[in-house]
Amino acid sequence: MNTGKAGGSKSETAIVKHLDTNLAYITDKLGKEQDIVIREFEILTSSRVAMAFISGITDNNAINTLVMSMLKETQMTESPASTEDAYHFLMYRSLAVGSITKFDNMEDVLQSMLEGSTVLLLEGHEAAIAAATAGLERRGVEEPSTQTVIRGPKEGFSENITTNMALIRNIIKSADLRIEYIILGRQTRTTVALAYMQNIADDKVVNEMRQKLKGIKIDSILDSGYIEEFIQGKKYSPFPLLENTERPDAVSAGLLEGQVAIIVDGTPFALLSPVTFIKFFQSSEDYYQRYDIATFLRFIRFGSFFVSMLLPSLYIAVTTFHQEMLPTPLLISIAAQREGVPFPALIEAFLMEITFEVLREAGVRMPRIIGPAISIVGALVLGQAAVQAGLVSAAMVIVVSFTAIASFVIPSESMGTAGRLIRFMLMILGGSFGFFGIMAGLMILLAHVSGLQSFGVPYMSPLSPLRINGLKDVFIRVPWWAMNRRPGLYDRQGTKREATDMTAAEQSRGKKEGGGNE
Amino acid sequence: MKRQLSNLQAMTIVVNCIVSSGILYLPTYVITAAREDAWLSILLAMICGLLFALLVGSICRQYEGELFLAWLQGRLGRIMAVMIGLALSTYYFISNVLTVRQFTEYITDQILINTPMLVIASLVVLVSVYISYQGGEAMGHVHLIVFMLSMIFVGINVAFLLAHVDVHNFMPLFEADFMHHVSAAMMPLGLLSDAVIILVLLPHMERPADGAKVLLWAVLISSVILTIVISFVIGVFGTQIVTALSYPAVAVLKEVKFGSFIERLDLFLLTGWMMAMFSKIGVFLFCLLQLITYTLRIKKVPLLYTVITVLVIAASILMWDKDGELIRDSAETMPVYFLVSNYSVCLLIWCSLWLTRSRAKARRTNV
Repeated sequence: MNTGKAGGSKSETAIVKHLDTNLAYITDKLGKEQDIVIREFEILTSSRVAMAFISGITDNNAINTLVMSMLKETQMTESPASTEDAYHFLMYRSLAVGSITKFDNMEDVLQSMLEGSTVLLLEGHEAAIAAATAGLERRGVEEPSTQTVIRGPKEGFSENITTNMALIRNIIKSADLRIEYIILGRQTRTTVALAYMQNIADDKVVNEMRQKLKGIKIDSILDSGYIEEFIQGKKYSPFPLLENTERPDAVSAGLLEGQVAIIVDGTPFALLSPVTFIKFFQSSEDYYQRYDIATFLRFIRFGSFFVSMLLPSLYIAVTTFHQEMLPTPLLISIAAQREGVPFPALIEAFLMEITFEVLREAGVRMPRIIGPAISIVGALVLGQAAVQAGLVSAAMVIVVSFTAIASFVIPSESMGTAGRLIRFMLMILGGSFGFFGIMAGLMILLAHVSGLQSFGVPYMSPLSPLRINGLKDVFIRVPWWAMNRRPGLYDRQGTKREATDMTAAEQSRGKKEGGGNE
Repeated sequence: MKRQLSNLQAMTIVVNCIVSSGILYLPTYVITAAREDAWLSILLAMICGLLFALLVGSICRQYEGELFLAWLQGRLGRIMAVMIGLALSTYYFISNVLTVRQFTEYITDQILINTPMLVIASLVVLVSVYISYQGGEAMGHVHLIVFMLSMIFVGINVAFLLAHVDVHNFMPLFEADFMHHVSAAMMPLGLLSDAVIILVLLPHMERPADGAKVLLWAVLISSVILTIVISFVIGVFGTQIVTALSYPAVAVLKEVKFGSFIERLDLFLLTGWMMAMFSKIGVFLFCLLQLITYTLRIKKVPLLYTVITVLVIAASILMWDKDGELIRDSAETMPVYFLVSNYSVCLLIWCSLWLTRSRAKARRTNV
């Protein structure tokens, strides 16, 4: 067997004419396990051919059809004059399969088998044919579990990249949608797709992302989270610099605004970038329901984010340093509740917050069947009983509970997590320096987010740098007919999104109504 | 160097620097000197400030890229650049120390009475160092957002305080003579000279030639805000009580009550001012580091950050023994120093550039 092609970074083993040698290479590399199937045939009067595949990751029906088509060829009256003719007949006439590829080295043959293809090797021929027969049993298209909506599409991504790309193509039926595939992970050989709209996305961003993806050298990619940590610019930040979503409509909307998507095989979570701080407070549903309701919900979300970050620290600051802010009756009530609590407010809040985090983590991991039991234990024992035992005050339980609920209002889980981490820092500052400490913490956060960029886009835009057009979808969501241009944050500046002439439509209706009256 | 500081961001930096320091001691000083006509003194200072803005703007128009001091060195020579660098560095150091102490003094006096001043000053400087460490572009974002938030807080304050304003407190009008106005305008004029910061920020600006426009707007907006502050102080307290108050602009906010549920809303309403103070110290530290790094050819920037941090904290604690000395220096001594330092440095730069303009023109033609 010829090995080691000169010049390449990776040594390649060429396919040789002797079929047994090629098959020996496959069994040597993949072993003789039960799922490695090698079957030999005699086709086209006397040509010897071997079919190799890995059962379990292939579609049995596709393989059966493939075998049938090859056997059918033997019944043909004309016989090939040479092995070259036999190969030609197989390649262009016999095989009843959608996609076939030709390989001339054994590494590609093995890789192709590992990806679910069926490989055909011919005696006397130095090339192999790989037929696309991949067909792993996978979860179908279901409703997303993390980003549910009341109104809007209910489809979610699955673990199959082919299905996921099809879902996007099904929404964006445009020739401008570009999808580039990259294989990442030395051992896992994971397929990663880079999707963008050619006429909308910024070329610089696409190039930068492409380079960063190609620069990833790792043995395994099991989820898009691996890629996220490699390509986000700033290494140390609690704030997410890439958006993740399992909704095809969210990815499509992002692509149409100029974002670039990364879809990874084996995970339903796609990544979108560049992204801004504000983007994490926008939900897909905002664009499917009325703009006034969407605007109201935006305010609720921003308010909830600040509550989830600040409420415990503000409570600690007020009860520890600024009691004069509270009216006397409320102050007396809180003081009465805290009487007998052996801990300072900061420790009390920490105990409760940590307890809640433990409960939350347990809720994610515990078997569903015992979930209600644990909830009762959490609510009664750690809430009511702790108050009655005098370990924590009732007001603190209310504060922690409201904070916990508020943190789930934020549409992006990663931004909610950032808020949870920051909450602890602000609690320490509020407990040490009161409002002044909280202000100092907020200034650090403001400076930090102001210094962040996501693929060259300032994280705080469109607030700073101020982009008036981008403000149409920040705190308020203006009606669709008023958003005639894209936000101009991620795309080539000022590309037009729509040109609906609302005035003309109104006038036309007015004329019709006028005509009816006459 | 990335040129990503927009005109709006540059303007907000100047406004935040001028207004944040003016809130604490300016009302007492101006109202003591010009009584009911104090607001007129601010407008008088504004006119002089606008002329100064034009002078600085003229320097901005001649700017030709690279670091400010490097550009000056190219035009005026190394010695001149070092002299100007040292003068500006001294100004930024002293100004920083004063601002840190003013901020610390207020916090220890009004909010955290039992916390040692050293702890507060250290926290203020460390936060500001972090802000300056983020760089020119990030500071532009910080100042713009702080400015927008401050304006919201100003709006809320104005809305709450309107009911407390007594128009009779402004009477009699036009009683103060010209000399009283000149005396009263010294401090606001000193504050408005902070506009000189634009020169150090020129390398970060998208359009440095627009410096004059930026400064004119900044001086105008700052003066309007300061006039509003002083007018509300007079309108709510009258001129008699103000002279007895340490922080009249803050005391005015204590009048604000929201029903009977929450009292002392001033702590919330001061949020915008506190943010502006942090931002000001941050940007002044940034300028100080830029100037010292170039003037003294310092390569080890992290070490310089550490040294400057320690020096500013120590000086802000040790420079003033008593509260009275700080008030006197903030209202009388320092504004005069700021005025003389900033105006003379700018005049010196402008005159030198004017004298060397033909040489610069010839050099450009040769290139």
